[in-house]
Amino acid sequence: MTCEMARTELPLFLYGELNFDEEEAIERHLETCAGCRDELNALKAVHRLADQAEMDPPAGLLESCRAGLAGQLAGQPPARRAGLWARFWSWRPAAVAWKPAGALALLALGFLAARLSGPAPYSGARVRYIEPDPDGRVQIGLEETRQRVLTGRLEEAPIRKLLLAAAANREDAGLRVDSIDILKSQSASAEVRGALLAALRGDPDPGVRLKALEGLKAFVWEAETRKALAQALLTDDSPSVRTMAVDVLVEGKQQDVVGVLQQLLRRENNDYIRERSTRALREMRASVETF
Amino acid sequence: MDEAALIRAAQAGDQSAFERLVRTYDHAVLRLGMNLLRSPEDARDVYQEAFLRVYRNLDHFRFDCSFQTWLYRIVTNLCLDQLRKRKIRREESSLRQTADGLRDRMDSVAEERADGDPERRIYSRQLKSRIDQVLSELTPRERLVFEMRHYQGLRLRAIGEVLGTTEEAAKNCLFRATQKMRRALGDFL
Repeated sequence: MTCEMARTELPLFLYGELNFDEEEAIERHLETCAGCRDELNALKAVHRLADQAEMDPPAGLLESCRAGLAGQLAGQPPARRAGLWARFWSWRPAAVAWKPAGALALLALGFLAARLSGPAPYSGARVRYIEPDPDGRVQIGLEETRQRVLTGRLEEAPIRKLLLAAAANREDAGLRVDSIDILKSQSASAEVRGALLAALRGDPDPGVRLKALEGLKAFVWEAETRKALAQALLTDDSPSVRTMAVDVLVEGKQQDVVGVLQQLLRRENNDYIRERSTRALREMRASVETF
Repeated sequence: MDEAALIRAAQAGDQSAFERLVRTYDHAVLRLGMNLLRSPEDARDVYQEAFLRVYRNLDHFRFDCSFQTWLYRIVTNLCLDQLRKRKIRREESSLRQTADGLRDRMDSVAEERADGDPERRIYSRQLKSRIDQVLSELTPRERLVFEMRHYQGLRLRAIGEVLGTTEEAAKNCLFRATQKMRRALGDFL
């Protein structure tokens, strides 16, 4: 791979949007090319700057939009009964209905297939020998990485094990987002919950942390989950993660959240998060100040 | 209640199910509108119009894509319309008249949020201004793809579905947008 080719693919590499073969090729190139490693670091810095420039809606805008929408809906005719197509979908026999578990297994299949297949038939293959024959044709020996596609339900141990391994793949943020997105529906499992907590606490990609947080919503009653949420709320760089963390913690209505929210108000600059925390403290009859 | 059940209940006329559906996605929708249009008024208009369209057309939602994809298709079409209109009319909707002359509405939002350190404040303002500039130089599609991938964490496959294009085309858009950002932000690296 040339530097020119590598630099074309680095932005997509950083977003985890290359296929397996393309990523392998980039990683091999990066091992030996300091210039492209510098370029990758520069792109990472662009990501961090873009993160800082993310705009959040001003305080109160969401509430005012909700109120405005409610007013507009009040003037609308009531939603019609489900149409023919919708009824068709809801009345399909159970055997062919799009059950969540089935859908998730399909997702698993889709993501595995996407990760394990390349765009061109021979991409990533290594030419081992070339033999011209007397008829003017040529025989080429290829060494290919063999790929396997596994299909199964999330409850099956091998599938879950692979998903958990993919969720911990430090090199590929896209793969981690996909895995955590699928695993989050299984958060009743302590093993999966452990992976979600680890992702929320330590994943460098805010998209992964957000997906992990979604999966942990239902477990806000657990002290360990609340601890991780509080840590995210107080230390996460991403306003989106902090926003979701405050929503989940506040809706959990646990008394030990009070101290966290008070601590948060001393350091938080985001208007929405400040406003949400202040309102929650007042609802819990707690002081918005610390003494 | 899972999302499919919520949608079916809303399709059958259950208002509280519809409201729960709205609340699941409305913060993300507002952030997307705000980041793309950089005007709270325009973001509010997109929010209201998008959810009204969802309400009116929910009967036609047939589960042949995810609800999020369907909703984002509506939202991005509304945002694209706005961005294209602006491009044609050179509308400067985020400017307002103040005692000091014309100011960007978003400046005040950013300033309120900036901390007390003056150096950091100047740096933030310069950075914001540079990012605003490069964003305005992206095509509407490049902006949409960048926003949805970078800030909303959607995969390019899903973004392609939302925009009615291929994953490859979304990939190209993201590549071009990132390159433009990289060039424009060179001094800040």
